[in-house]
Amino acid sequence: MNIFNNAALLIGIPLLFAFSIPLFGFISKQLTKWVTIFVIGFNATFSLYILLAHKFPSVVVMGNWVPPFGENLYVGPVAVFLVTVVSLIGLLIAIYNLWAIKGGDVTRFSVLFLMYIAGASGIILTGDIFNLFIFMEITEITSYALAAYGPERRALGGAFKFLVVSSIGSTLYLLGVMLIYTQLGTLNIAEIAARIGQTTPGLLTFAGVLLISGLAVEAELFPFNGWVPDTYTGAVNGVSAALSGIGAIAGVYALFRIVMTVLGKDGMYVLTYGKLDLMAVIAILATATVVIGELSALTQKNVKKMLAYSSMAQMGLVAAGFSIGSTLGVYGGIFQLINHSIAKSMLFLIVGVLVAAGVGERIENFKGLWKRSPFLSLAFTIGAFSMLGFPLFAGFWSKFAIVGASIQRGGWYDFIIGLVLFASVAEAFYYLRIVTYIFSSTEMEKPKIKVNLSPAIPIFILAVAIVAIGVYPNLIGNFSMQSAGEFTHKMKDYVLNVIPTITAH
Amino acid sequence: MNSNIIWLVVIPLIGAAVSAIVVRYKLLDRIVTFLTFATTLFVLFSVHVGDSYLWSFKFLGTTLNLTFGVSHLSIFMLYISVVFGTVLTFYSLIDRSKMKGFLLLLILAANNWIFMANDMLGFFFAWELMGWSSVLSVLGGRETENSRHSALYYAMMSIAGSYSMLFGIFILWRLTGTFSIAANVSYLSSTLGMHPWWVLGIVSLFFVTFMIKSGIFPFHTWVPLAYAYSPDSFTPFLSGVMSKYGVYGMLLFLPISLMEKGFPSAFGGIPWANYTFVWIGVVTAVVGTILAIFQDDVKKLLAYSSLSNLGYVVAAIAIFSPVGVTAGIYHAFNHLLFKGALFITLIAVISRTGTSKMSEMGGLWKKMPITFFTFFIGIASAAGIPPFNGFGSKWMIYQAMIKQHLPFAIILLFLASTGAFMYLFKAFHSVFLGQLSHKYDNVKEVSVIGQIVEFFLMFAMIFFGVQPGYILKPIGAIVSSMGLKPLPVMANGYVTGMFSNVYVPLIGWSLAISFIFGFILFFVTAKHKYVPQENNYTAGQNPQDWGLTPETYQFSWNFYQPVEKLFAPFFKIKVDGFFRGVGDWTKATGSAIKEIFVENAQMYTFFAVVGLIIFVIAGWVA
Repeated sequence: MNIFNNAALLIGIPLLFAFSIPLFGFISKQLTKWVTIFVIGFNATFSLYILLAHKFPSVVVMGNWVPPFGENLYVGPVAVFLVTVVSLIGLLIAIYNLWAIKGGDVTRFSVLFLMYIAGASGIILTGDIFNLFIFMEITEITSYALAAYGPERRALGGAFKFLVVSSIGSTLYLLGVMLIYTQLGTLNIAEIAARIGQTTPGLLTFAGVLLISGLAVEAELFPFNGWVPDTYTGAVNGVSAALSGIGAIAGVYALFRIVMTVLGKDGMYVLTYGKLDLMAVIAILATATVVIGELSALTQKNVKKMLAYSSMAQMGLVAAGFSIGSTLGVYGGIFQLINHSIAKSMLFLIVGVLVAAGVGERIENFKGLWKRSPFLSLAFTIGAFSMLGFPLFAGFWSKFAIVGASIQRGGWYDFIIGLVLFASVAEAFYYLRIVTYIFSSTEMEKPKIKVNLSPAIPIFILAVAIVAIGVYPNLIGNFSMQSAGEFTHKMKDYVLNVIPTITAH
Repeated sequence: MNSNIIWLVVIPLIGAAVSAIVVRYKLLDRIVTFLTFATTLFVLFSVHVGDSYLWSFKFLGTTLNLTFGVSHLSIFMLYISVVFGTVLTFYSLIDRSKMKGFLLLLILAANNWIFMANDMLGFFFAWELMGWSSVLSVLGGRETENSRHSALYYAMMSIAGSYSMLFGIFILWRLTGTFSIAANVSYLSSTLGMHPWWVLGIVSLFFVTFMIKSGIFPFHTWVPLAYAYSPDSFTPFLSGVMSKYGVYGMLLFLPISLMEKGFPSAFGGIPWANYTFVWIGVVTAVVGTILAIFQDDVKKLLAYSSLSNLGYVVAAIAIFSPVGVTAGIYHAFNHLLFKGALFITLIAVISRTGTSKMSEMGGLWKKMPITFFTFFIGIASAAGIPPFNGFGSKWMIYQAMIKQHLPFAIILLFLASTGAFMYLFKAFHSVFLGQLSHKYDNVKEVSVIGQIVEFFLMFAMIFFGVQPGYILKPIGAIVSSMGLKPLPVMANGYVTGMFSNVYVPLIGWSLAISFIFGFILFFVTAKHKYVPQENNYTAGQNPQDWGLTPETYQFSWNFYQPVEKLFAPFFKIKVDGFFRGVGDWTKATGSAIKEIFVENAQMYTFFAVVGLIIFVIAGWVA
């Protein structure tokens, strides 16, 4: 067990500054946005340092109470990698917000955004299922408020739906935690993971069902994803980008940390303890999510709503990858998760710029965009192609890995991936419809779109990242591979790193 | 190891990057494209059969080997595609259509990779790369909205095909643990005896992809759309080169059928899977021909003609006898040459007239004589008239069929061939012969670059028609590399066959002499009177009283109306309708499913709770 307490700063600094931002707000509203960038920039740099200097796996021990007695953070390959991605994407969105967030209560927006980043990092780093609940609440409550930000009425409706559904989710999760606590008397993930075999199978299954029902809300799995379309559509684009780029990562991470590490059984393919194999349940849910998401997006005329449905469907694909349970599948899932975050947040940012430029967010409005703004058109095309998994773009490799993993497992996973691929053809239709609109010319010459520097920087960086990963997949692939092991070999790569003396029961 | 062959992929990619940067300056873009093609051709000279290159990288948790290798088949395909591309891009220096050079170069990179890939991983990568760049290339035709629709239609079919192949690739990987094409093919042929149905199922996953890409019935529906509405200077590449990818893929997998032991034979002693495939080819040939007859858009007409010719190719290679494979590859080459030439001359015509409707053209031969002669030779080749290049391959295809005792297939192919005369004559006459419309009085011949290309194409069509040996020898090497006994090639002038050999130059000379004789006779004896377009048909009455416009005088106006009536009942069967039906059904299901996400928070809560209850019950029951 390596102790690396500084990693707690990844949560502490954003929280500290989040609460002190109103002070900066007295000086200038503009300053609060810069403080946000500065703080998230710190997070990004520090997590990159941990990732590249290989300071993991290590544990943050609070007040010298070693786990399982104290609350700990676990800085494993997954955590570091995902926190890096979360804070980098958060940084880019913060840069975009510099331009996008002008009206309204800028100070409080900055507070909420920082807390959102802190909450998401907390979910990823924590080593305790109750703390996971707390961070989940922080993330969710801030995201209701963020989603409600802005002048539009539909934002309120979306945020309210999110609030209702995710409150139910949190309650179910808490019930699940409670059931596990009554059985084992501990909340530490590593200890529960080691001793999960001691629980009563029936009760464990019930607890597991409650836990995944609660977590599926944030991970956007059917039937708990009803909030997705309205909330994404209603929120301002920077927030939609954050929800799909940051919230989704945290949500999927939490779901599979619980199912694979806490409830899972090591093996060639991870299964769960209890009467019901929850991985199979998730596989079915994920497939339903993909099919329903893609088919719903098919007839959408509103690009933002279409992106929301697509986001849901992509989360389904990610979950399908994880639920295969082999190293290859988890690898594909993580890879796809990252690729989706990059591409989808970029697409939302582009829509934001277009809406601000008066283009509008309906599909017809994209007609002839190539003439008006080659930069945005190319970036949108790159993002769409990455979503579709075309080669030379990031999405190709992850989709390839997921398909490969599920056919490698065989059995009814062949059927699952068949359905997913069918849905992907539908996905190709609605993305390519926009792309073909972009490149077809119109009769009327419309004015060119000027893109300010502050939104242009994040869009450019994200587009370049997609192509870079597409050409050199190991940029993400190596980290994904390290991370995959942590999910599939929970004793060796997770539990023993936190509590070296424990033995599995 | 020969690292030169990797440059065949890298150079086009670099060229594509450069061309993408200068995309705003059209001429510069075209020059870069042409130079890249020329450089690739130059590099290709240093590539020989047996060269290979291995590039391994860690991915999917293991070390994956991307292997490139040059077989007899690949070097043949590489040469014909790169040479044709070079000619086309040279022509497109003077072209003004919206073809994007960097997309064509991406397709070239994919093209070279597809032909050199020895592993399915690289093959799929290149296939997908080719897929999306060609979809984008189809955008930007003259008619924006049609072009957009056809690009989307093509994309849907192409992507459905790719996913089918991806599924097949991983199924094979699960069975053999390797991505190598050769290893998997030999695995499939060794299991054929035990599990014929499995093998057939896996192979058909691949063949669906190849049939879609080549536009074989019943997946031909995208072909006329994409060909007709793509940018004019991209269509030759689409038709000439890209339709051959499917044929190449099929040739990779067809050697499986050599092992006939597990498979019951159909008529003619060929395995019935192959027999079915021969018939698919024959049906494609017939369907393509019949539909081509009734087109008014000349690009659509030639698109259906492409379809029909690919049907010939597939029918021939599916027999998988020495004559069959030779004839199939030979016809694929010939099709590339004459169809490329026809589409290139059409760029010239369309750029001058601004339309591709045959009923709006006519009489252009006086204005564009060189284009006219190129088109004429292209038509003659496509119809399979002896001294030109289309003859030998068709002749060999019939021989291959006779050898396997497939009389009904031959009858249908003859029908298709006769039909080909009908539509080719229609195209020829309506575009170039007949009366010149007044709006084309100021039309000029293409510029010098275009003329150079046209002379080159004319030369090639005559040369390979008269000296087929130059192309039959490399094909012989391909055939023997597939484990078949190659046909003997006697001298360059001979088309070898099962029953007799044809000495083409002799036919050529006799035809030329009789043609010259007939021409002299025509000039000496015939009495000509040239009349303007309006002064015709109406016996002195005022045509406007009859509701006639100059358009309706055009030769091709309702050209084959009687034949059309004859076939009218068959037009009710629409394959296209099936795919559109699937699309509409998916859309309708989509809109129904969308209703789940109503704008009511109680509904979501209800769903979540119901979902939870179902889980709990499932856990309780399990």
